[in-house]
Amino acid sequence: MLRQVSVPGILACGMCLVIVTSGIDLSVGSILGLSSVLFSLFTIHKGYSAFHSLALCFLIGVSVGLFAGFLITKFKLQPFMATLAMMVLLRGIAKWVSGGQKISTAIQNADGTFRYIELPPIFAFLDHKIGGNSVAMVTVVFIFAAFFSWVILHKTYFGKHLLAVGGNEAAARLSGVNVTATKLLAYAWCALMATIAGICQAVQEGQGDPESGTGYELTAIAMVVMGGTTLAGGKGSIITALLGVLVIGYLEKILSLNAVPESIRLMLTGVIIVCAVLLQKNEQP
Amino acid sequence: MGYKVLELDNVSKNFGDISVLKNISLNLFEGELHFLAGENGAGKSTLMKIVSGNLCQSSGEINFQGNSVEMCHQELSLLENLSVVDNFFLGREISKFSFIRRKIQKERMQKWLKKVSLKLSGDELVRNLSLSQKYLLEMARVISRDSKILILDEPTGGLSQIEAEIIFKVIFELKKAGKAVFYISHKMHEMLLLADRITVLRDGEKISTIKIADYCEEKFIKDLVGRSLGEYFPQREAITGECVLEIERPSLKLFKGEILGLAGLEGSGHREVFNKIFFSPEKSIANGQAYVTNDRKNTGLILNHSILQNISLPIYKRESLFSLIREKNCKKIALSLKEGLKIKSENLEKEVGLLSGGNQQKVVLAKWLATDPQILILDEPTRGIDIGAKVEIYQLLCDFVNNGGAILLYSSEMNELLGLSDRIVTLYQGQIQNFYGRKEIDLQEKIMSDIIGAKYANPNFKENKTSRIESDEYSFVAENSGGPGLSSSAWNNF
Repeated sequence: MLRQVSVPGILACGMCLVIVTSGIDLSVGSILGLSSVLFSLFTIHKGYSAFHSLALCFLIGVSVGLFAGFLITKFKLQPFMATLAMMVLLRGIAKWVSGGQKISTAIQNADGTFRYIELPPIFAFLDHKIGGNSVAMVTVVFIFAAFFSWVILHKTYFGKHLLAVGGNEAAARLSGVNVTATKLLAYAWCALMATIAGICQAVQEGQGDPESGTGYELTAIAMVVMGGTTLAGGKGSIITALLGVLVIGYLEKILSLNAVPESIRLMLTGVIIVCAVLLQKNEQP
Repeated sequence: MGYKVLELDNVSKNFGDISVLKNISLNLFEGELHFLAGENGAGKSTLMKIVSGNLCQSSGEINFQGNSVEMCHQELSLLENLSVVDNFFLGREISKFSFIRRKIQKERMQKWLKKVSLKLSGDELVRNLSLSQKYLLEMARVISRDSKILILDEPTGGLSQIEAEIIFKVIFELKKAGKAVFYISHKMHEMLLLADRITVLRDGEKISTIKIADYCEEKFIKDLVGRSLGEYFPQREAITGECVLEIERPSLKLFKGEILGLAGLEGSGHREVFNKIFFSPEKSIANGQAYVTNDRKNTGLILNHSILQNISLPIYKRESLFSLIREKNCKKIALSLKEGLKIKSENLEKEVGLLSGGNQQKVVLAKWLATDPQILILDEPTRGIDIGAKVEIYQLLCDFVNNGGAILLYSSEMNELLGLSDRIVTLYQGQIQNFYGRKEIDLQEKIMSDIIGAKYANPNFKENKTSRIESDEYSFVAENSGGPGLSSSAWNNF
């Protein structure tokens, strides 16, 4: 169960840090797709070592996030528009890099036939289960992502600055907060989380799919907002965002176990998101 | 003078416990321009909001004698992205089958634009107009509603002398047409030029109403500033040390152990000075400077954060080790400041948005004191807070300088400025007028006459002023104003 929410959960961790600055990042789904394609390409086709592939993916992911942050801080684009553009752009890049195909162990020969190569060991490593076959490695990654996001948001001065920028940017700037650096950090971290989520996705599927992650940005936003983080910024917590992740995750799980059709499942999820947000609204004075 | 068009009888207004208007009785006659004078916060704008119906009085009667009132707002109420004609007819469009009849609208609008000598076709976007054109359009819109009573709140704010004269001309026309006008301004020469009667408000009370013929400058300034000084301010001997801050243009020096007061009207250039000093907040804070802005809600505090978060914001970085915040230190500092400043709240976790204005202002000060500053820059440090909190803040500021700090203070409340400052510098339109010491005689009158530009009220001085207007602005206005010589005609008219 936790294994299924791990990928959107990792996205939500990064998203939370952006939303508290009163920003939003719509590009995480595309970053996920791109990173799953790149990771598969590097490890399966190019045969790079696991370490080099991961390092390259992280580097590309963080640069992409910094670029979005640069558009937002330097050119004062609205986060919604800047990351919407990034979302389309990166999806295009993912399809271009992969040639529109899934990057898998099947490799086309010159005569049109396929030959199969072996999956690199990193896939098996990240996809296996530990602790007596009960916890997936992907879940461990999710827990680490959540832990580090929590430390950044709640224990470091960066986190307090993120909240301050979201609460009142002018007041934060006058109090000596470097608003530009703070926002850049938020978008870079969010993109890094999306990159990690993309690698997890690739590992779970055993291939890199350029279409993967479509629509995930909205799931991640819903999870964060359900956890009580307001889109207006200035308020938010990783712990409650994780609650949002679990609620939406469990809901899906329970409904699909009971063979509720997808149409009903989606409708119910929508209703529950509205109810959760309304409940939080009533709590505030 | 004609008949009475408006009568106010004992009008009072309270916001919660704070009384902003006390038993105001006034009347307004047909064809009269009634000038309202008073310092910031004296209650002029509140009174006008009550007359125009934007606010409701707490007690008292207003008799409109069947007349309607229109107000030209200080902040223009035009929609920037709509065209002139769309703005003009906003909310009362002329339409047939819900399609707008633009041609008819434009024709009707021209009649009113002519009255304010504005030459526009109607298709221009409002955001492309100059400030004076916008104001004239606003006036045209207001007079087109054909109200008997007009309220003009600082109509020449931000306009050059020549642009202002177009507006004066329109006002004379309106008076001739029998309209009654309430006029608010801080500028003395406008008062002498336009007013028929002058009412002075101070601290929400009406001090006097006189006809322009009975005007006496000395008495007027006394009425304006009042004489209730000294009681609230701690006695203190200034021991000045070395120079801690020096700025150029305007050239000012701030010394250790003193409070330097900046006197000037809103828009006199003090805020530009402050922003220049605090150009890079990070560096300024590292240099021991702190800036309490005039607007605690928008630039001072994060309203949905706790007291602790607000006080610790500028020191989070200093109080962290390998980026991890030492929360105990932050709490200790915040707690001692909360107690030292007597911030009234059960704990540090309360949202500052829920505190009273006085306590919010104390949180702002606490936040800056947490950075251990040498220099405090204060812009209206006691705006909108009650007298008890004010006295506490005054004591705090005096303690701060006595312990070797230095303060650069701006306040629009004359009493506060005089009571706290060791030296006062007067500003008018970004220029330093004079320096005064604490013990100078007739200080209030001298300062007041500096900052309202009394010496510029002399029409002979005008040549000096026009030379300051930028040339492109000048040429643009000359096109619309119907030629030079407006000023003299206005004087004759008067």
